[in-house]
Amino acid sequence: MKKRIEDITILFSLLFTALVVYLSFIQIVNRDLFFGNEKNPRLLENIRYRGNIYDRKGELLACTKIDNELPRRVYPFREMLEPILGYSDIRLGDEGIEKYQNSRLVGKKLPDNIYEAFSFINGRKLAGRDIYLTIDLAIQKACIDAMDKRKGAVVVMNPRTGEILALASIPGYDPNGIEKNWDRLRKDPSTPLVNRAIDGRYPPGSTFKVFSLAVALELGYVTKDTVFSCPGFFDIGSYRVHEAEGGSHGAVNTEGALVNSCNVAFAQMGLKIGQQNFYGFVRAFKLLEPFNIGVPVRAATFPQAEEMSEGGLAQSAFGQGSITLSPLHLALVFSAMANDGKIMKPYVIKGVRSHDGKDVFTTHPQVWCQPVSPSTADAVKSMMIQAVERGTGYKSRIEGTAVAGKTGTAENPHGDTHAWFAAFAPAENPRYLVVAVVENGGYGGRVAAPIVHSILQFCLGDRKDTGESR
Amino acid sequence: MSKKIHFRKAELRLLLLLSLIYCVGIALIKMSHGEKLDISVMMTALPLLIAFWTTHTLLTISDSKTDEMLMPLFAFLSIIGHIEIYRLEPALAFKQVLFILGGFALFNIWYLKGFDYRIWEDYKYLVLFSGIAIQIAVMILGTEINGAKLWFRIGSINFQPVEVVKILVVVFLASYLKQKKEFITSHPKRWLDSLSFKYLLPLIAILGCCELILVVQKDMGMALLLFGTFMCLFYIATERIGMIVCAFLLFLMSSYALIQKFPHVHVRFAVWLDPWQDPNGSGYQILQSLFALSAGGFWGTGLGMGSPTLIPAVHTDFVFAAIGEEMGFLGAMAVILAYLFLVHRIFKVSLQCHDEFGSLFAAGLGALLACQVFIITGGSIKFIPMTGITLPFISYGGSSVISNFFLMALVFQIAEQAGKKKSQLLQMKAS
Repeated sequence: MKKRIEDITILFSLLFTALVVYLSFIQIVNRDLFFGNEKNPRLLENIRYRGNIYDRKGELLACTKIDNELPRRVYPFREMLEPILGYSDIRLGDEGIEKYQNSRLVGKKLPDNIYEAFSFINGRKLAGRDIYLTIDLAIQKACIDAMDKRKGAVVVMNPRTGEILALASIPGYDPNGIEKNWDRLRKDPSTPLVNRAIDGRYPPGSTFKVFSLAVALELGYVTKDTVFSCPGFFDIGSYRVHEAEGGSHGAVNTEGALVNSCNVAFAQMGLKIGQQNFYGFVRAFKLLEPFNIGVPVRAATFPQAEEMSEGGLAQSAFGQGSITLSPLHLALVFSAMANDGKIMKPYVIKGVRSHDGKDVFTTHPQVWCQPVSPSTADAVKSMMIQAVERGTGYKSRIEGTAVAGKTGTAENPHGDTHAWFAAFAPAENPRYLVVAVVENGGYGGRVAAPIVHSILQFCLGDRKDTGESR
Repeated sequence: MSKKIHFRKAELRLLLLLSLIYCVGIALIKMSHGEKLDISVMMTALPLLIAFWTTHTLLTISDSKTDEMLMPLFAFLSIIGHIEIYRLEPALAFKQVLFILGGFALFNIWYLKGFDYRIWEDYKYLVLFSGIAIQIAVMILGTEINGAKLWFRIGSINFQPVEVVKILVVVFLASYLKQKKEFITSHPKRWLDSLSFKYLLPLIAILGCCELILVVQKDMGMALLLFGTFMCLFYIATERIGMIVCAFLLFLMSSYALIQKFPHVHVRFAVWLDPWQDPNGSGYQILQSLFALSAGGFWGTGLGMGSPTLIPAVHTDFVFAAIGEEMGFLGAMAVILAYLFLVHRIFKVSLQCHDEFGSLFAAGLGALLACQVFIITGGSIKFIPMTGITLPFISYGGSSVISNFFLMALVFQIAEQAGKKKSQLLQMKAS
């Protein structure tokens, strides 16, 4: 019997050893497999100690509430700021600013002050930092209202600083309790999770004529007085350029070409510019490199110079063909005209404050690039003013303020044309640049221009409040 | 012959170390609760310190011949229990202290004044039937908690009678096997011959009992525990590997049939195979346990610094995962080794015991404890399917704590007899 008792002792020794070995797999070898899993509620700490997000005037946009010991992210303005603000969810993880500014909102490595240092030593988690956005909630709301539930996007920025004052994408979604609606949102054919303002890729249509005009002027291929003849069509090999609404413009000068949005004139301009120059300027306007405004923005899509045919080049010059970009990209192009040829680096993070209200980081406006000279920019701007005063953009005229803008009606493979309008005001000292696109909305002048008009009017009427306070 | 006091030096040293670990543990928990470190640490630790130092004194005075490793080992496990409960459910910690104090009291009284364990042998059928009666009573009169009728409610105290029944079963098995082992082993060793009903009767009876517990009481853990203990004892008593294999296969087959038939068993099995299938439902608890263990890593997050309370039922079924999170792989391994050490020492008592019943009895108690630790620890780390039983000495719960102290008292009685016999033999040799 002694022998058999020893057998059983050995059996249990082996079983317990197996437990220890198995345990080492969970705790040491495969540790990250379990710990890093998104279902691990320890990642909740990310939410519990997360900082708040405010708009430029200190309006609370996102905060953490704790009910029944369970931290939950709360967004008081629901879908108004989505998708740029994003969400922070236990199961779904983070998105938008919540995702890309996560390291500022949580995960602070070092304490900010001596009191925090003490609690840090005692093993307390440090409270996260607060983020202040450049977004102005009032303007954001004006954008949402102006879009009136039509699919599309609006970008409002200050061309002199690069601050993004509003970034609306319609439809948005309610980030509160998003996991309940997750399946529906994900499968929704109107793609509410996509941020159309920065991730949407649309052909720019005639709005891109501003770009072509600036390039042609910069290179000296056209002047204010160059005259184009427009019989209503223009042949490049087997490809024929038409005017958008039929008809012809006869003999038009450069200004007339922009005011009347003459495709034939711009096709000719494009051919003069040539593939290499065109491509070079697309690059100089920073359209071909990804950048970060607080969330990452991918490059616009544009064919390589070598791949572009004459016909393709002519099409690109008036914003059709294989070029696609987001409203934010178009805003960059327009901001150069508003800002003496300079493009300011765009940003949505105004600053970061520690838990006790001290500034730990402030974004300073910086010149990103200067693709065209001030004189070119001025010349284009004065023509854009005319395009609003007596051209296609007449619906965005504002009494007593000069508005510089350009319409776009972009043909696309998805149905009706996309309606574009981009404008800045006051033209002599631009402070607001608004770009709006309505998907399959129809004519830019008829659909998008009134949207931009109402937003600009709101901004200009509201000018007292857009000072430096935040 | 002058009476000389034999000091239990090893026990004394271990208890000194233990007292230090205990106070440091309580102090750490107090700190993590944000309390000041002062005399209250001593006040919290005092009841159990008094309990095991008193036990040590009593053992010394009564000139106990028992193994000096045993008491520090289960005292260690019960202080880990108190520290963990204090960490996880501070409101229940004082009750746990009372349970442990009750356990120590029962241990001392039973060991010093309880009737001789050898008497059990004569009342084995009474023991068996009272065990069965208790089980039937709880099925009919018991209070249902979490969908299983396993408790008696007396006032505000819930009593889980199966914790007593498991010991009664070991008592019966030890005495029954002692009596019948000649009969079973004298039989030709060709295992096909043992397939006659007469020999298989006890096997079938115990299998039936286990399956009954599984089906009627939905207590998979206890069924597994009793079956495992029985198999160990049967092997020790008879060495009939053939019959064990037979019973094991029968158990597997009948269990398989039951898994198919009863959803509550089936769910547990499916969760063990793949908890990710329903991570927010049936797989939730075991995944929380795995998350906790992985959060601990090698060194652990530190006492009071992890989030083990995210695991449902962490202070009862999943206390091991909490140890793994906050004390790390090191701490979890230490606890497993402490159990292994304790089991090893109980088997040593069994080996040293000169009467056959005592030897079988001690081995049965050792196997019972070992099986229970293996089943619950393995379950909470997903080594085997999870079955809700308690981790001896550590899990919160009066019935469990007190019955395990009772188990240790029985082991001590057997060890005392063995020790006495040994010293008698030594004296005879000397004279």
